[in-house]
Amino acid sequence: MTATDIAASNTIAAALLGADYPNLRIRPEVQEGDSVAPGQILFRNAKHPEIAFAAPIYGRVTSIRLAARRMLSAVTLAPGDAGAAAPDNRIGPDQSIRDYLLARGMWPAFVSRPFGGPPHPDAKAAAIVVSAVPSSRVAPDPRDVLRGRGDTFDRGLDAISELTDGSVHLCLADKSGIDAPALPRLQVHRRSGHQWSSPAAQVVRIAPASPGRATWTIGYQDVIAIGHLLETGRYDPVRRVALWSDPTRPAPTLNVPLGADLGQLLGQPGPERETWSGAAPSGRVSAFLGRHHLDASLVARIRSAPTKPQPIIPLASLWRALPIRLPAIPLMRSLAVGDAETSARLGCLHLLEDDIAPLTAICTSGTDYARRLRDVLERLRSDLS
Amino acid sequence: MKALTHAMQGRGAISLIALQIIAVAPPLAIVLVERGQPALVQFGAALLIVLAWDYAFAKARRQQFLPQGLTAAAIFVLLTPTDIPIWHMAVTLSLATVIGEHVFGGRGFGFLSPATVALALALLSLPNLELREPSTLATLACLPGLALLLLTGLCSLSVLVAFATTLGAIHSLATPTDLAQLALVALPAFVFLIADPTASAVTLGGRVLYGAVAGALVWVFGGIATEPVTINPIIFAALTASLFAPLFDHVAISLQIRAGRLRHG
Repeated sequence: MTATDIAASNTIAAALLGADYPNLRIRPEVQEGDSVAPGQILFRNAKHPEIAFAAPIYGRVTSIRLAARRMLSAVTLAPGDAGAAAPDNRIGPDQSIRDYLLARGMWPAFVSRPFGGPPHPDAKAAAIVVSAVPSSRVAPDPRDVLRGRGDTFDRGLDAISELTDGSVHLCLADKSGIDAPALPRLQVHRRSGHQWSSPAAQVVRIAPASPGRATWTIGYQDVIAIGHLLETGRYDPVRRVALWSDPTRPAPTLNVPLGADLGQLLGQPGPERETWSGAAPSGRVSAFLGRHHLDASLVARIRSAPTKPQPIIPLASLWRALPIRLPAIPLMRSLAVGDAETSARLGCLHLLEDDIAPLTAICTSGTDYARRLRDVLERLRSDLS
Repeated sequence: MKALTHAMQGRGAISLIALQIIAVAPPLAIVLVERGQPALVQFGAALLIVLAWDYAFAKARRQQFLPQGLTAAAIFVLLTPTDIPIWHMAVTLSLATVIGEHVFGGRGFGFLSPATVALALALLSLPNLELREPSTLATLACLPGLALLLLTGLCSLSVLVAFATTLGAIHSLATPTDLAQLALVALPAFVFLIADPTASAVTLGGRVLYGAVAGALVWVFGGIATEPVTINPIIFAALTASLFAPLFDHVAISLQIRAGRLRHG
């Protein structure tokens, strides 16, 4: 099956996951069993109904699962025939880019830092950072993805510049060979190094975010999807991702729908291995592809958290695991005990779950730092609001 | 080595203890062979004492028994003469195990190395005690252990470089002593006491400061200017540097935060 076949064959199940949208309460617009088409709105943010979430595949809603306090856990879709027509409406003459992206389900492509999740529908970003750096050494090369879609990408960049009074920063790998368009508020940054692939490192270096000064991040494939939406009126749910189940072989890059079922793509996980979304050790264990991930793999199962507290042995590898230079071990200690004030002082506001996940994969304590970070971030957010 | 580091995930202090035991095993084996039966008896008694405390605390806390004192017993025997009275060893090892480790919750939760505490207590309570440096062969046998601890990240390269540089710099200024002899004496104490990850600083800046201060303290306690070079001052240097390690981290973090504010406004 070729790369294009995976997405076009419409045989892959998909899901929209609560893990991508922290503490999201939803207002469903479909019911279990309903047929849906790509771009059709599945649900809205209950607190900000302007923010819509679109279906990535043709198929049927198999489950709408809610977690504690009616937060989104997952909305899963089974593939089906292209029965329903996909929405096809272009931006209206009086419609703003913001309203159009909100209404067509493209708003969740943005991640607002600090705190994470899609930005507030009325918020203006201090800056927008577009990452076009491969997220890992096996991730798709942005130059290949952009080949033949340069104009669409430029259209998307131009559109998102309307969402900020500041600059749009395009982050590229050094010697990437990608030509950036000449747009008035576009700044291009070319760097080398492994850490440059992390949005956290890009934001800290270019436009540091703080509670009063949000920086939004977005991936280059989402910018192409925005450009495609503006050009055609059609929602583009296809992303090129690297999927590898055997580390000794080159990872194939495939076109798959957003939230694709990783079990179908990589093979079902067993007792020793599990499906991982994201560029391991960043990312998380997940049965479906994360909204912002362009890598997925089968990895050795991470040991579950021990029942009794275990010590954090200060290994040298821990402070090298974070994408930005922070005092990792003091931060881990403060997160482990839920000390929000100290965590903020040590720089936790620069991080999101994916950034801190490598610590969980190394630490001797078995603590789930991504979960602890989320708890602390939510507490800091509620203290500030 | 990356796989080994990942294998330590979620395993708590057992991974630290296991790797430290592997590191200390070659020099300990040589010392036991060289010193013969008295050393074997001493090691057996030391093991009995520390494991009894480990068992007692595990029972009291309803935790799984973990032989946390193995490394402390091994390092103690490596660096003490065989004629140290058994009762004295029992008291110092007991106090060190309890004060240096178990009152904090066990290995990895405290900020002191129980082996350093035991050796310092032995020196303080027996003023005439001279610790016994391992033979040259046993000292050189510490090198594979040092390499293992460095590769697994249990020994910090920053601490090693800062300690060795400071010690070398001070030696070049003030010294009748032989640098090679100083290095041989300092090596086991560095690998098993100063470089203990649970007793040293945990930030990059703090580790540099910790290593440098530990090196300087060896001179302060008289380990460089005196002939012959002995291990006694290095024990006190290790203990004092450990006590100040949290302060070094605090300074390093404050400087880093300040630098970040200056950079980002």
